[in-house]
Amino acid sequence: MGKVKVENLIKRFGKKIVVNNLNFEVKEGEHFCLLGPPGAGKTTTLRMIAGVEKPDEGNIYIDDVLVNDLPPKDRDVAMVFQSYALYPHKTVFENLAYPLRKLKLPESDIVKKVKETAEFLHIEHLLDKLPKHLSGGEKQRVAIGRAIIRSPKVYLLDEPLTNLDAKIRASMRTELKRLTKELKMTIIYATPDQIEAMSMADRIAIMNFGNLLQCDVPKFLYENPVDMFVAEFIGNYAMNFIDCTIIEKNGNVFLDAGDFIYNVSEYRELLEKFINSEVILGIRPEHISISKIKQSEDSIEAKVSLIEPISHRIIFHLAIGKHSITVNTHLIEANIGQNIWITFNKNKIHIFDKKTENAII
Amino acid sequence: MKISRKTKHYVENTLCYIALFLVLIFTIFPIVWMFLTSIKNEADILTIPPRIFFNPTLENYNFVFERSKFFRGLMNSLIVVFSVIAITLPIAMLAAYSFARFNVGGGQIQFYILTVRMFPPIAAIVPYFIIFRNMGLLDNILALIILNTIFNLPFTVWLLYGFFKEIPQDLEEAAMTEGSTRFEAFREIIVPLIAPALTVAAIFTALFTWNEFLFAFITTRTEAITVTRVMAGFYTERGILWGPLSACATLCIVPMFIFVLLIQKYIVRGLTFGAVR
Repeated sequence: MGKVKVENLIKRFGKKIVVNNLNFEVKEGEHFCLLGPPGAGKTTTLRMIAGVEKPDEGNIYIDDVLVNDLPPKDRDVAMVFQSYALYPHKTVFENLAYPLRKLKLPESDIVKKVKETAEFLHIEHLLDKLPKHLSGGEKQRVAIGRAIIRSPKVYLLDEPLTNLDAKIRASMRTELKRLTKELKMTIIYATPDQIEAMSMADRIAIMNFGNLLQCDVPKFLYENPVDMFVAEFIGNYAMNFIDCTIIEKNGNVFLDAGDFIYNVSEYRELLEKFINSEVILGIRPEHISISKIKQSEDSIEAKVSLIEPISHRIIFHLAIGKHSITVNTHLIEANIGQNIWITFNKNKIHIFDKKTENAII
Repeated sequence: MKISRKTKHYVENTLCYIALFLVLIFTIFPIVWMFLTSIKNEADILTIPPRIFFNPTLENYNFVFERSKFFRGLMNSLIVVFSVIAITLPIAMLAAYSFARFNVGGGQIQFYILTVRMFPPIAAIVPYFIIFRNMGLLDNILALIILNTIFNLPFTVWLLYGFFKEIPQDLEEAAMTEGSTRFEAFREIIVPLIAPALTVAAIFTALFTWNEFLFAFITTRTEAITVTRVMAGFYTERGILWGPLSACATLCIVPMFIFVLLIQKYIVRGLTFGAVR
């Protein structure tokens, strides 16, 4: 087990900056996730930590040792590539044995270790096969096996589940989580899938265009996104965004969305300097409740435009004037075209500055 | 008139085979003619119209074995071919790898190398002749090895470059994170994968070098002659010795024919490389 520290890391490809001034620290035994859309710089970051890519600026420490100039083989890290990178001309056995042969272990130890790892990952029946005869899920297990067969300080996993189809992905996710907890591995995990990140990681760093936007535990990111990008990226259903203006009326502070106004006097202190400026109201679909009658002063009338039942939950698509809103709620009888009342959970609302897209609340 | 599907299929197939047969005759005719000429006596060779039935003879082959330097030429050709392969492949392999992975020279050097193929070798032969004369390498197989290597390298580099590009970089990077140096990763992971391509490169080099005539004609006289140069020896003052020339040409084809038959499956594997991943 090891820890990793990345300091002011910069990488350019030509003139394009792919990793911009990255700073983070991964603790021993932590499952750390780099989350972001494609092109965010996640893979490049992992490759720099592995040592197969040279950073243009900045430092990388593994266990407090500066490793910038160490070749990959001396860094004691293992990497699982998105493509799995299994050696096509070697059998599964030889693929797994490769890192051990590099350690010059005696043959009997190698055989024993390969057998153990194969059993652990349930791939012992595949040992004599070539990679091209394996399914995606099997290849992925072999790739993970090749990483865990020795005990490196850090495991780098680059979108290990992305190439699998949805069903296997869900079960591999569970299995991977079990594995990482059992082996107490220090993991840096890159993924574009927020569900993977939220369900597996101890901490998540959200990246976009090479920048680190926010780094914290999953729950905190969900509850306190630092800007609109993070707010939208985290969460199973995208957060609703509504363009508003902050107005003051009769000593109260309101969000004026044109088709409705919403009292936010509770947040007066934070919003005071934004009065009469344009903001964006953000509210997650799961933080809106629906009722047939008006529940409180803050309830808003909306028209049902589409209903999507998803097992025991229902996704309502509603219209309030020109605004459309998604609501994720428990089962409730409603028809398309019907008018119903929605109430925002006021503790869970977010307000973003329209110009900077940064969170005010 | 209604043509059934089966009939149509049959007609199409027949036409296809007829076309193939015509192409086959066209390509194989010169070789058959050459072989037939090699077993005719001089009178039969020059008869017009050519005789279909004649008494085969081996006297042309006897002539080649006893009165020309065929065996010396064969030996020299084999030495040159194997030396050129042994020198070209390692150089081309490393050069192509560095172009494919590190973009050495930013594409410029790659282009310069290709320019060697852009002019006919005969344009360069006079300077080379003078250089080799000054170095005392005329009529020396070393000169042939050098020249053939120079003119085979660009093609081989380009051929291998394409194959290296096909191999995902992840593979060697995985090997490097798993404890290999770059050179070990190259040797243990990349070279085995590129082996079919190396075979193809070796075949092309062998064929080009074996069939090469110009350099041999210009730089060799008696000691370092190759099989193609031996053939040119049958153009004598008393006319072209068609019989022995054909016999020698037939003998020249045999080694390459056997060679290609032996490695046929590797050629196919090499040419379809990447399509099977």
